[in-house]
Amino acid sequence: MGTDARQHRDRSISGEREVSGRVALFGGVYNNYLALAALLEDAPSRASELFCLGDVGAFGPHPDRSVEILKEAGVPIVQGNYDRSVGLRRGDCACGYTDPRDNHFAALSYAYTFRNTSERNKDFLATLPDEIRLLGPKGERILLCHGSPRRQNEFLWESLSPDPFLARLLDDARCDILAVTHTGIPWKRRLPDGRLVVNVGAIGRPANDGQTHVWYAVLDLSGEAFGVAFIPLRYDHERLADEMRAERIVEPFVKTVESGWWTTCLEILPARERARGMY
Amino acid sequence: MNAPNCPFLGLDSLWIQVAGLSCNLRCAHCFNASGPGNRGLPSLSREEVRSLLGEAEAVGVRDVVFTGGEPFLHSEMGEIAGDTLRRFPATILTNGTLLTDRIVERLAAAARGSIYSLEVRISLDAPSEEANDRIRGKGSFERALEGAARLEEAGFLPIVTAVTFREESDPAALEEFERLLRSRGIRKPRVKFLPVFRVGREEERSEGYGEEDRVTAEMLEILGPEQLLCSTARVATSRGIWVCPILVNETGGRMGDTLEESFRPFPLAYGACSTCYRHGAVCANAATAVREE
Ligand SMILES: [Fe+2]
Repeated sequence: MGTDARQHRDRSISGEREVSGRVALFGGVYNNYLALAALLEDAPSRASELFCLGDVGAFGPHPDRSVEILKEAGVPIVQGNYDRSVGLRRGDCACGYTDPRDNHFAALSYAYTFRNTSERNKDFLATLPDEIRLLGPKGERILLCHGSPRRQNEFLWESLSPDPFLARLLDDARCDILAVTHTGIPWKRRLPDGRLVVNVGAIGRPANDGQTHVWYAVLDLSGEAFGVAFIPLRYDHERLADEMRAERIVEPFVKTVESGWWTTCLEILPARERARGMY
Repeated sequence: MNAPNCPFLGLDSLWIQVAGLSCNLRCAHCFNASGPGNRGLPSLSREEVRSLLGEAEAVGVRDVVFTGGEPFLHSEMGEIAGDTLRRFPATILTNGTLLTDRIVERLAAAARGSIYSLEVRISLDAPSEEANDRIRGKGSFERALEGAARLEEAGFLPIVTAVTFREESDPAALEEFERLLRSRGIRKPRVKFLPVFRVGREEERSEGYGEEDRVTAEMLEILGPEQLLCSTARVATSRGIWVCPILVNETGGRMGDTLEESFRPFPLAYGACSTCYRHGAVCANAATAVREE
């Protein structure tokens, strides 16, 4: 892991692509191909371009379906820790959990995803870039990455990200707008100097808020000042739950899809985020 | 043998030895030998902590951790928590025995006024009174659990930390702790096991570390320095800045008078470094598992 992290930091900043208007940002697909299909229906009316912030696989069913949908739609994808692990044929998801029970459930879904991802798609996931840089109409430097600019599996929680810390991350990564995912709970912060950090949440599982819908974000570069809005995304979660059961995916994951409350991998949550959930 | 240098990667966590080494308990395994009457490190004033918070802001710290000794022996811990939470997430490491209604209400007020998390970590070393009090002192079990229950009532989610003398993770012990906490009305029990550090008072109990308990350059290369606290944290005390909370009694652990001076590599020359190496992320709030070798 150490060597990887260093390589990650050393990988240089490459071609900035220009964007304008509204840009849809989503992450954490977690094999939820039904939410992904719903997103591809919903987002084009709100945004001219779409970007995926990584983790195509995880606890949902039929991993190849999500990969194929993304490839077919030609959506640029940032590599998440899951994509990297599956792509490099690693033994675990490198999610960054530290609790034995969190790791137990993470291992179950990783084994399922790994087993059910084709060799071709594994190769595809291995080639994904670990960041995408965009340039806004007023020269805004936009950085899309998975966990944080410095580590693919770093968790950026709202209640653990004070302004000066975020400013340091943005300074070090030389960007004005930073978009991440990996934690699964959306939040945004405008720094005193106007720069913006957004965690786009995940479309693969609900945000531990007791609601069955999921979230993505639309970055608006059209006005005087840039801004971001979160979009709730409904999809056929009952069908997803049925398909998960048919695939014998463990019940706690299915319960999350049905109830909107996280049931596993809770020990990584900071106090404030944990307090909002049911478990 | 030359100890490998752990590089400094930037200050994520600022630890503050707010109450020095003064503690109302005298636990048998205490790694920094805190106890009643230990004047080894004077406590820091609210003003001194404020000035540290200003320095922390300037270098982009992610979170602040208060330790001791027992932080709640400090007469202004509630106010200090409030000062901190206005700017940073905070964690307080406590034995839980001094959590009166008054201090808990102050903490709750500080937490309400902040968008950041306040974590309170309570030490409890066994899920039974008899076994716990043998290590931590008579009455400590009941008083710590009363403290935890008061925090729960005030809307906190205390983390119970237990020093484990076992090498592998122990699901049965975890369940026992959870059962105990639930029986005291704690609805979302959070339990974290910590490895024992054979330093401080524990060194007198066990044989300490041997020459073979050292981190080598090769080991550090495999692990990656970002897994070790000393790559991203420092401890502020009334006598200067130390590399980590475990080594505050080692003169070699002192990194300078100011935070700025302490931002340099540290040679992993101590036996205790091998415990951090084996367990990783020892001091983080999320529960840790023993590293697979
Ligand atoms: Fe991730």
